[in-house]
Amino acid sequence: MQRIILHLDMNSYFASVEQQANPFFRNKPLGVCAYLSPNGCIIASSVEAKKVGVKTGCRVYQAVKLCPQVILVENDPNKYRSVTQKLFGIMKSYSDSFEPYSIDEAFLDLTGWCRDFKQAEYLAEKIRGRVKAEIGSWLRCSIGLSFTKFLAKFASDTAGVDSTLMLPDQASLEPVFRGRQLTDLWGVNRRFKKHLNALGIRTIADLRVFPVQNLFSALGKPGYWLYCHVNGLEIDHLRSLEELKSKSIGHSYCLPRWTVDKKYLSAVLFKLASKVGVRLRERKQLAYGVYVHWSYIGQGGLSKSFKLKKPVYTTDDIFRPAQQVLSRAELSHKVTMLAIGVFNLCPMFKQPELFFRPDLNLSEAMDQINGRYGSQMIYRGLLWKTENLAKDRIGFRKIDF
Amino acid sequence: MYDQINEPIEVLVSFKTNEIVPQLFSWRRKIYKISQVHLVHTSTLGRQTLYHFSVTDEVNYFQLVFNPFNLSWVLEKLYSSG
Ligand SMILES: [Mg+2]
Repeated sequence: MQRIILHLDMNSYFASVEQQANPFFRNKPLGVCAYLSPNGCIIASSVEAKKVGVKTGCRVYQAVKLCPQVILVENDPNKYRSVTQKLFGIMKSYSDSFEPYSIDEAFLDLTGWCRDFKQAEYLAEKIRGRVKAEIGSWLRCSIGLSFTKFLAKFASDTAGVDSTLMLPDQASLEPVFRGRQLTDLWGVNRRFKKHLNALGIRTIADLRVFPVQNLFSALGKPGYWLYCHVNGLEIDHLRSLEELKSKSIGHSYCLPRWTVDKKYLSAVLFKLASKVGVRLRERKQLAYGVYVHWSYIGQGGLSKSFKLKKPVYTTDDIFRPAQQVLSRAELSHKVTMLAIGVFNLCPMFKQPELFFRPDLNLSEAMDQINGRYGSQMIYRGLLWKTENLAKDRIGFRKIDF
Repeated sequence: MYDQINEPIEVLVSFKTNEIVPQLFSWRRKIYKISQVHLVHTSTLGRQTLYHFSVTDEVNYFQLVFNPFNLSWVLEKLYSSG
């Protein structure tokens, strides 16, 4: 049977959703910010803003300097999540094999659901039309269709705004790879490119005909995978939800106030730890590892991770080792970003030792109260007056299932 | 930039199939006629789901929120294009 994979990627996602909501923002340079203070980061910009150089990662003050009439709005995660939910709902109605890849990207396996690529192309247009009709007319997406996941993603990356690109067979590959950089390939960063260059591989065409056994011995499995990908050999599949549950849970926060104040940092850290704790308990998992990280102004920072003999489950358990690192550390510069998380996850089991800890039940009871009445109804004294710290934020690759 | 309002309003609404369409609302003793609904999104407050409506009249953008639990409407945000 002809394998048919579709990859859909929304164009300038957060900015387009804001322009969809408010038509007075359309056709204008718009930046969606982490927060609106001068140091706030632009996390997404509209097509019009990109044209004048206002790009992701740009600071608010820089954006205003580049383009004084730029419209800046604070990000609204609920808006984007709602639209994603509707979008994925539409996609899922066309196949039972669906893999969300990020907040605005997903794969759909149409094998067996479409007779051929012609029918798949018709379906792609149907999906695009339904997005406009059922969610919003301003929303645009790139769609790629091919016979492997990798190629479908490459096709949508290449397709351009509001367009579909189909790579239905081997013969269609050579022309689209011509003139493209190695770093245009999914999974090839600058470091990987250097390794390829060292082997004498300069172009995608070089890579396609390179002896695969040499690639394998020089770069290991990633080299072999890449060879398969560019030659249209499928070694991948759409991942089920169970496979997608991430192997770690973490939260980070770019501080609006850069500081060496350990009391403030500790309060933020506890708030982040409590978010991690809630997600860990929602997933009914235990963690055998905790990590903490912070970045200093300029560059550098500190990362520490612990593998633990006894698993952690409560917010206090997660917070304690991280807090120890913070309290003992000599802060060389002002801290700009804090992160904390857990890893080495395993399913929850109530071993006797855990069962007799009253704070376990307390954590679960607190989660229940917050789940029912709002996420900040009941909290620890340490969090008093920190309501505005580490508010809900959204990341591109972070999606919960 | 948006003005945060967060004041209760009275709204005239039509219920269509699987859809709620606010038609006009009164705020600070003025009536605003909604010409178009551009986006509907949801958020949660504990167990309750709230429905946010991004709407415009000829010159203003409004974000209204409907709480089905207590049947209240609030004007959350305002943006004037003029
Ligand atoms: Mg995108």
